[in-house]
Amino acid sequence: METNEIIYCLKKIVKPYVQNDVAFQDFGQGTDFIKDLEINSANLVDIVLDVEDEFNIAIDNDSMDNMTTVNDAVRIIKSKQKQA
Amino acid sequence: MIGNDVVDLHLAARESNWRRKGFLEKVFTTAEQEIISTSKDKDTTVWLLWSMKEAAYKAHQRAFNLPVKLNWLAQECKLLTFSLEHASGEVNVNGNLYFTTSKITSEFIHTSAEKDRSSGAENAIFEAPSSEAKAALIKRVSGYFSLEPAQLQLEKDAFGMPFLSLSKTSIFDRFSLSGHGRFSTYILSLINCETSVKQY
Repeated sequence: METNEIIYCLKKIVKPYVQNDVAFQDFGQGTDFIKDLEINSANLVDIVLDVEDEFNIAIDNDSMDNMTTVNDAVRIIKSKQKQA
Repeated sequence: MIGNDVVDLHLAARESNWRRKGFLEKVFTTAEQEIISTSKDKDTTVWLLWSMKEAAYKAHQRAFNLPVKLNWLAQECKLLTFSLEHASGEVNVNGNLYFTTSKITSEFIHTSAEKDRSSGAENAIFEAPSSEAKAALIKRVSGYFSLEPAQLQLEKDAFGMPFLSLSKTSIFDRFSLSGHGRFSTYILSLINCETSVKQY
């Protein structure tokens, strides 16, 4: 899957949890789920689960640790898809 | 070091479905899942353990200068007491033990976590936007250091941890802020702070 395609999917996944709509308009690789989008931490669990469902991958705990930006998520999704 | 976390129970019920497949497994250890499944009030127990983890990790982050991580399973909770309105416990974060005290109401759960039981931590809970908790924190700290509130600036470091600065120099970081839904809170410790201020 291409990076742009992954980012497009991520944007759809993240949308319902976003608290800062202004920052969401600039959604891109550098976007931080917490600092920029101000997503509640419990909803970060939902995002991890949604990503697993959408991309049909399993995100282990070590990978989940660092999934705080769009860039991190793209990297993790790509590496898990390679393993699959 | 200290940390705190508040959960607006009504907002949590609306925005988070902890019953969805996989949620508990991502957040809670087998032992914690056992506490939840055997408890009478599962919603309260889930958010109590959650707030213990969040509060303890904030204290841990402060102590070791760490970034935010999505590593709830690395924070292992043990409940020592759990009644209708209060709970106390211990959270083990990579071998570091944090003691927690929680206040439980029908509206919110607030947990404070401290490394050292004698940190003399002060908690304040507001049913108001975070600006109110921040203003109250600044007032309390500025009063303690004989400064005017306007002299102190609330800033965030690269990891998003807040600190108070005076003339662009950090002077106080022994506090933690939290906000969720209708509630905003702070915890701070002013015990043994004199030495850190004399140099300014």
